[in-house]
Amino acid sequence: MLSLQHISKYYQVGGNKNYVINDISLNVDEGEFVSIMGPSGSGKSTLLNIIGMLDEPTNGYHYFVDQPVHQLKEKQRSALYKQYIGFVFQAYHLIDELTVAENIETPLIYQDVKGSERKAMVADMLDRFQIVGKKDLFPAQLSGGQQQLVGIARALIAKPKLILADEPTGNLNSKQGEEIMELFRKLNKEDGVTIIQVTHSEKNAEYGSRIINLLDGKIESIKNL
Amino acid sequence: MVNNYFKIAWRSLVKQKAYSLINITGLSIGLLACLIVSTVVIDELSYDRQWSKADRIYRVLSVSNVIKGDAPQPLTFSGLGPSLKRDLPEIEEYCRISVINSRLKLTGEEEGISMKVLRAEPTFWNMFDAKVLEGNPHKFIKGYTNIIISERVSKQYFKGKAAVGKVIVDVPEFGDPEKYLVTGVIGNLPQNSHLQADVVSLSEHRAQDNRIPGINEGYTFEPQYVLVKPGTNIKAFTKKTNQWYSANYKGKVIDYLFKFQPLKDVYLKSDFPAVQEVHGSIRNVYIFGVIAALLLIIACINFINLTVSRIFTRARETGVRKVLGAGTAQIIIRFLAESVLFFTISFGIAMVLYPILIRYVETYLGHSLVINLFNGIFLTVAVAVIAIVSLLTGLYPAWYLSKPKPTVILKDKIPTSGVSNLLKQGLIVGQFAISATIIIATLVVRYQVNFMTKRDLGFDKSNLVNIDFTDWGKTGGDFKNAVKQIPGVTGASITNWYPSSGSGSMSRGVNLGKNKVTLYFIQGDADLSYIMGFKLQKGRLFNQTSNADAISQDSLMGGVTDLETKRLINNQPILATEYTAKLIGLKLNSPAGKFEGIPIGVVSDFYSESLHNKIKPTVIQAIKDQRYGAILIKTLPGSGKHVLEAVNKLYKSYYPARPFKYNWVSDLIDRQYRTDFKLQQLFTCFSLLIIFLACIGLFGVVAFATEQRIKEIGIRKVLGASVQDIVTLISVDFIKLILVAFIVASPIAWYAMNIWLQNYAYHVNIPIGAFGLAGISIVALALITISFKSVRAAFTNPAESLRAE
Repeated sequence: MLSLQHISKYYQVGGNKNYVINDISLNVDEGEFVSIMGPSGSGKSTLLNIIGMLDEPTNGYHYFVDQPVHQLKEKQRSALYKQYIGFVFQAYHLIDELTVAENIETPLIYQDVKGSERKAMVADMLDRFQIVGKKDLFPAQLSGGQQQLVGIARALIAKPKLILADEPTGNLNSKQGEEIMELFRKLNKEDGVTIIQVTHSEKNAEYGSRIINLLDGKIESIKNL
Repeated sequence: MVNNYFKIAWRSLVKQKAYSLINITGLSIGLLACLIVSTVVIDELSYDRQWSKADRIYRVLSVSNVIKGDAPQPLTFSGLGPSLKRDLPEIEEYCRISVINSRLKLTGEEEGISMKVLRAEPTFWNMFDAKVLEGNPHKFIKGYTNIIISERVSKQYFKGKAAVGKVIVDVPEFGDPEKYLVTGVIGNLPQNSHLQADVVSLSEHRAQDNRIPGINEGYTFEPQYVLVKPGTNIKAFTKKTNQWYSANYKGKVIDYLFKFQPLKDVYLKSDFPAVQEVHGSIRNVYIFGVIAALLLIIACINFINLTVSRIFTRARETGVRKVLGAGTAQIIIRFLAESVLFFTISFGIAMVLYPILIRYVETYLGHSLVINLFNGIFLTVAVAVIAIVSLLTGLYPAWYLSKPKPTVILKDKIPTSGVSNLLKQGLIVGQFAISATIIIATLVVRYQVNFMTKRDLGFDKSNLVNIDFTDWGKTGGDFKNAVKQIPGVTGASITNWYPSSGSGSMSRGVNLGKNKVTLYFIQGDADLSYIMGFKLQKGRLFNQTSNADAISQDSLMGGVTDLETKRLINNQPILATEYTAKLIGLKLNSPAGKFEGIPIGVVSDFYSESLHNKIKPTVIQAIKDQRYGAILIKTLPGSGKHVLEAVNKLYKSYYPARPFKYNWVSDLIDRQYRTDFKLQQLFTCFSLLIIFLACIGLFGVVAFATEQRIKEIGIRKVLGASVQDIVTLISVDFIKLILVAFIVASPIAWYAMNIWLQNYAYHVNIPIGAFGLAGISIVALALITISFKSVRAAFTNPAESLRAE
């Protein structure tokens, strides 16, 4: 599904290069559930952002569904992630001014899906996550777990092939976190959605099929489960 | 989709209540002020455009060809119009029109009702139009002065009863009452015309007034209007007229040049306050047009500053939307919708307040506005302009807010680009430069008005009351003596001139080597100089006890033939002002030479007119046995009220048919500066408004800056900075900007006000104090505005601001 070859990212600080990602190569196949771990500052989030095309590496080759991302223009890249990738964030990043249903609907608006179709898809999603009763509430009226549920529903609405999750349970208590991880497992197993998550938690990492440990911008170890 | 954008815009507006309130307040005030000022400007520009033949109507101006640099007068001798029509085919019609105040006994009122009467001749209807409601006013009935009343007069005084066919009389100030035959009722004459009137009276001129007068004939000057045939080139026609005049009449009568002033220019581009009561000023139209634009610009700058300063709360939303697949265009539209919403709400508020405020403005202006937002296409234009402005104004902030990259949502720090900071600083400098300019302007206007009203006029205006021109008949002297007997009266003088009535009661061109100057003659009785308090410099004033220095008024009326009177006039004692004596080279007690009379004294210069005009060469003559004139009465301080009551009683017993009209001279003098006072008030009002709006904008930018530096402030506090240190830290950058604004504004204000002051013959030099005061006040206001945010930021617990790390 995606392939990173000799990816590096560094900042020029004075005469020195300050590496955040240092020559990482990585392949992820369709249907995988990858967990990325590592201490603060090891480059986990940067790696995830590069995979999600939100950030650009300084050098290296990046292929996504056989497209050479490193050669694409900004517009083409955004078209690509719009079509294939759903994002889930630690801080949920719901839009405060929008209701639950409208938050979930937003990606469809940007993909020019027709109004009636959108309504049907949002209704399905609300149903599936059992949040129909909350559809007219605003994010501020929900608990953290519920907000993350909405965040995931929003990430899934456009039927992405890949979910990128940056510490999805970081702001949640352990019970809520467990529910979210169960949901991920179900999506991965039953719907075949590829998932890459960044996490601090050993326990959550084990939901995945492969754990990649980063240290100082390099892959320190890979553990297949 | 569009709905969706507005729904979201509305929700975010409601969510950020304080921000929305500030933004909408500023925008509403800006739009409202701009609409009001525009209304006034558009109304001013609408004068005399409604007449169907307005394009072809001109007022005739005459310029004396004899006196170099003589100003054009909107008066011409009576015979010009008919002669033009007779000889020049381009003229379709002419009409001689004056608007005067008369007292008419409409339904038998004792003292008559004061009315504005448009006195014209029957040709009026061939040039100007009015809606006929009753009668046939277009048909002139000979043998009478025809009077046509307006709908308002008909309703108010005739209460629906037929007025047509009635004969009414006036209460004249001179001579016998005149009879008028009501021949019709017409719709009210337009308010936005310099020919505003309640009634129109039509009469035919005498035959001798319809031809060019001979050299020894008397003639009258009056305002005249001509209607030219379609397609006439007025420039060429003006040339032709002057050639025709000099070819046929040169040497026979006084040498004149004629000009034709378009009717549409008469209201705004005339400076004949003595002849044309209803007049505006194109200069003020420009000033207020600029102010309207500035108000709008400042309101828009505020909007931009306030909106851009929301980047911290908005960047995350932009990032999320981009991650969810939004394109920049879609995000721009989302924020544009918010701008349009803000403008729509503010415009709505302005529209609600507009009708309330416009009534105050009308009261203030002293006339109703014919044009307002709710008639004609004004509203459509206003909506269109504001729609465009809202889009243009919204565009930059929308673009700016749409810039953040999706990754911003993954970071705590919002990167802010340098360009925007520069722009924001530029906008702040711009706003405060405008504010500083207008504050300086306001102060200069204030200094000038003060200067004019506090200036030593060269005479004593206190406790001096003037009773309007009266037809004294033969009893003027008796009346004056009776007035002098009233306790509290210290003196009285019957005079043809009084302060503010002009430079003199008569003028004449005098040769001075190569140049001709106009010499003004003030004619009053021997007491005039004493009660005016003219300061004698040399020689003596007129003899008060005998009438030896005075000559009879009648003998000055022209056409003197008998030798004895001629001798009297030639040896008539006169007083000259210091300036005149120097200019003409007068010697005490020897004949003036350039004109009749022997100077017996020189008085200090005095301002016979307002300080707008230069002092004119002035000579004072003493006359006796006046049949017409005003009377000036000097009272003891504090006894004015009972003196007036007594004079009124006396006046009624002497002249029962005349209306008693009086004015305090100090009021008459103040009245000359009425427009200056108004300008001062308006400038004060606008400068307050503009500085208030600028402070709102500054507040937005300060809010932005403190938010941007909240971490820095937290760290500094942890390191031991005091509240005062923090406030200084935030303020100092802004104060620098304000100072830059002030430096930008100063030369502009200096230049503009220098031009403005040129309108006054006597004016202050631009006071340095005005700059100092303006500088101090904008810095003070800016500091207060900044303190709202900076003090709060300084008191923020660093634990809170640093928590995010």
